[in-house]
Amino acid sequence: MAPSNAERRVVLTMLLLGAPQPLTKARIRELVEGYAGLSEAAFNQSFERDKRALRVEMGLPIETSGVGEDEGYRIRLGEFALAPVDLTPEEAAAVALAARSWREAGMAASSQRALMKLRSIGVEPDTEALASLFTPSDVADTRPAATQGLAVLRDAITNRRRVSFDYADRGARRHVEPWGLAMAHGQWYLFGADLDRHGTRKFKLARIRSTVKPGTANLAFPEPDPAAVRRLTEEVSAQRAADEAVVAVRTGREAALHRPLAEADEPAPPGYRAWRVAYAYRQGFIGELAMLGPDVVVLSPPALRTQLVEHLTALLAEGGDDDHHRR
Amino acid sequence: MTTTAAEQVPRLLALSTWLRGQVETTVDEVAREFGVSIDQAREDVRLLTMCEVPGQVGFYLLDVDFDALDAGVIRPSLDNAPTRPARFSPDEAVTLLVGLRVLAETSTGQTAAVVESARRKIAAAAGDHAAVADRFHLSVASGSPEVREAVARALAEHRSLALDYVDAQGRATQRTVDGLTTRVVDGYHYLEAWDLDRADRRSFRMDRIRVAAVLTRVALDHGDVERVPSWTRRLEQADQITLWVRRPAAWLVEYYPTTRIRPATAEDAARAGRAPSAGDLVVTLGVLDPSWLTGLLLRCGADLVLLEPREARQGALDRARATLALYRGTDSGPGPADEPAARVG
Repeated sequence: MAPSNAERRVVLTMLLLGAPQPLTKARIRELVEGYAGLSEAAFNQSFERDKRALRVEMGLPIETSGVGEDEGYRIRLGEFALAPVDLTPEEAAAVALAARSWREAGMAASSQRALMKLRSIGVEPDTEALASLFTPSDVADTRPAATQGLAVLRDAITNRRRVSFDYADRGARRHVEPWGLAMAHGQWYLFGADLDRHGTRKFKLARIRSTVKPGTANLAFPEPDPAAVRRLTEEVSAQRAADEAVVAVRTGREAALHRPLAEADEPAPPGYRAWRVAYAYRQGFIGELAMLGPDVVVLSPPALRTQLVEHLTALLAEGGDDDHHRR
Repeated sequence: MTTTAAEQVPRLLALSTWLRGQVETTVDEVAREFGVSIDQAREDVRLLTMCEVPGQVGFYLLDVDFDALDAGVIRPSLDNAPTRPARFSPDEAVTLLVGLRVLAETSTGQTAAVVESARRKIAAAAGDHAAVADRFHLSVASGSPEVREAVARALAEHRSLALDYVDAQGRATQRTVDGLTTRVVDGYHYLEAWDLDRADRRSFRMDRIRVAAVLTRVALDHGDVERVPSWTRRLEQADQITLWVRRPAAWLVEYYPTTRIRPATAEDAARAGRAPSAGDLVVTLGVLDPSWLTGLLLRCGADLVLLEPREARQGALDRARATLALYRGTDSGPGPADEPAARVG
């Protein structure tokens, strides 16, 4: 049975690791069992792929020296090895907890591996500290769709590879330069340059309708501008509440709005009090107000009041002639 | 889940180095520590025993007692593995740093300081890769620092908590609970607790705990904490409902766990009493609390119709009518409409 890709790459790494002098391709071909019996062309292709995998996916520092026939490769032990990380037992416990907090498959594997590397160099989490200092915590997701492609996107962002995927928005195939990921309000978003529609865009992972396919070229686009990355991240996590309404809330039900309330002077029906409340998206706010039923009455602006009445009227309407073209 | 070479190679190298320091371990432990299945762990160990040390025929990266391996026990008897593990790869660095940041967001005081200091040291070890971690941002909805501190203290000291809690329907309640653990689920920080009044497990969203007070009462042992939030267990036994969903309400399938989703037919629209349009869905999901369903129907208006069971709509219809009556009572009908607001997708 021919050795697997994984086996061949492990052996190649071992060979290059700490080689006293750089090894030529010819020598590597002789020494690595996985290259035996391959034609010149097949060996070249296989070796180039392996080298790339070690360099890019694993970040191994493969050093190249010499030219032509004498071109040689090696990995210096000092460059390869994880330097000592001086963590206190409590800090190690924090790292262990952070590593274990990922439940999403690709993320969990990476963080567990990192933790095992630390343990190999003598970093031991203090289990007592884990129990006493930290509230045990999981980062879980009960909706697989919401985190689909997370690990693929993470690697594409890290290596600056373009990605493509089918997106729910008109089911179109999208091509994106992925700049970063942000999670807020329980939703993951990819942001970056949209190559089909030019400009920066945000994509909800839950709306991706296919596997995320990364391009093959690394560093396929320039390092994104940190200011733009910050701006897009903030757009995801902060919803600016720009509009204000005055609402009458039934006494004792103030908390039901789940929003900060400021006192207002407007008269309110008996058993109610008037409050000022800020909101960002009118349509979403109308839905929230509708949920509260008779506990809240919109006093102003008049348009909001009208739309809420229309919303509830449409809910009661049967027969489908309700105005669903409402914008 | 199949393992790719891209994942397997770094794992094999890390595993070979970790095994160097072991006199005896088990396949189960490898599986647990490296986050892979038991079969995969055994496969990984076997593969390492087949990697010949280049240029030294008959020498392998790892040698084990094969009879013991069949029984799930790993006794490395010879190893030529690297003595030190490889530096963090970009994915390892990013995942660890982002995980630490989430932990920092959900901890307080002394713990937060420990987490931050650990994060700085890991960032230093990650070198160039640390900068990439800045392009991943998670904001977890958690409680106020006071609430988090009280919850952490109650858990550490095994004491009960008194909570002023506002549930999703806006009902303010006072709860006495024994905290079990906290966890971040779907981007929200939850306290998993034993609710003493309801004599059952409940999950409380930390951002909806107004006040948390640590009581002198000692918390009782309520057994092991399940790996899943309590509502996922309860959802499995929950009543299932079927909804007809128009596109503007389709966000609900992204926010709530669902049982089944399919495209709607013209027949479904007819049952719903609505005109069909592109992108309509029929969604089946579990409901734990009838008032949650009432709230959802009110929130989505004409874009959501309950197909099954029809009678469960009644609460929403009654509330909608009561609300409209209130508007008719507070003035002589709604005022003139101004500019329609731009739709935000």
